[in-house]
Amino acid sequence: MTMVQRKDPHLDIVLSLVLLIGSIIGIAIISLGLVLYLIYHPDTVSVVDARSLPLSQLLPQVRSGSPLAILDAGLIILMLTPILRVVMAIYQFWREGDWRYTWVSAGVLAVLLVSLYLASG
Amino acid sequence: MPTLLQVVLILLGSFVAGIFGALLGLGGGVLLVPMLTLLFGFDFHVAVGASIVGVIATSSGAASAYLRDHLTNVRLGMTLELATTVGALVGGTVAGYLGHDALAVLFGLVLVYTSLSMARGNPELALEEPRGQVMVGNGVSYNIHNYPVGLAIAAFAGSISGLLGIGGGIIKVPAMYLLMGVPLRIAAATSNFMVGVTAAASAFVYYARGDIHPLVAGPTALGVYVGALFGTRIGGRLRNRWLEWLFAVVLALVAVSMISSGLHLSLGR
Repeated sequence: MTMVQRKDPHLDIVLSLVLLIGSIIGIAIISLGLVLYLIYHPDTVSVVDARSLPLSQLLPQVRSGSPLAILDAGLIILMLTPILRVVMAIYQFWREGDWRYTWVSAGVLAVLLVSLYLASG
Repeated sequence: MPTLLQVVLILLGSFVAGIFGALLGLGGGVLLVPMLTLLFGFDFHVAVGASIVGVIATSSGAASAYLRDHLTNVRLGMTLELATTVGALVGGTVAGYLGHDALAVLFGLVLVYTSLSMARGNPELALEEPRGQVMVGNGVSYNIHNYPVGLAIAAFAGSISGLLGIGGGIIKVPAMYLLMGVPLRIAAATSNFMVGVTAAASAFVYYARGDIHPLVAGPTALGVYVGALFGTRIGGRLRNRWLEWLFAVVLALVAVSMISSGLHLSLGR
């Protein structure tokens, strides 16, 4: 099968920006949560004692300013960044009228959503 | 301050792993998991959970740069991701049923393979070699063969990623280059592109199982992300055979240590 790797600068740049911005925001929020946690809970005995919050409790806890929830939120943002990249790829392929790869990307998103569903259920 | 000290040590260790990962063309997981299990004594599931988040961080940073340089074949990447994500979902789920020892032995075997690849010269470092072989950004034409085999190997690489918290580039890059006919630099960039999505597919399984411990995964991700940025800067874009040989030996020793600990061998003690 012949595949021409098309010059598609717009697609490349959009996906590049999603990954860059998502990872920087995730890392920044992780840093913030880490610093806050160490300030407010310096007496934790071991790092493995702090457990991540269930996804359902995350948002209310972040609103109440829990450092652990902020740290978890940073990790979740980092984990969602590649998924957002797939969503953007679907949108870009759809805009270009490239149906084949719109469906391929939608298939990848479907697998990721199954993973998210299993994790939240 | 045991917690503060632990966090700082994980940060430093991951920073160093990020630097060497970038210099050697390794995703970082291959260095992070042994560090977290053998040096810090964490359970394998805790180490893999942290490593997966770290792998997402470094691959997002690196993939972003390769996309900007138009080195990534996004369409090929998305196609193979159909297989890597399913593999990762299965691997991440199966990992929950395997004990520390079984995972240690499996990881040791992957380290043996990685060590041999390092000794031969990691093909992923082709990214750092001078341009010329491939006309970048002008639309590259090449024939891609063996899609079924490529998808099968991608599924295998994905399941190893989900089981052991590594990126799996060391499996995918040779497969794309040797079996599918993808130019080496593009194979390496495209592999990196797939790593983040693959790791994300299993990361949520680990999170739901409670295997992502925020005070381990947080400093791991932060350290390895900054370390990889730093390593890319100081790397000088040169292949360093001495460093590859050094790590071939180090990884072989770590492999022996992991396999023997998993099998409860006492190694002459």
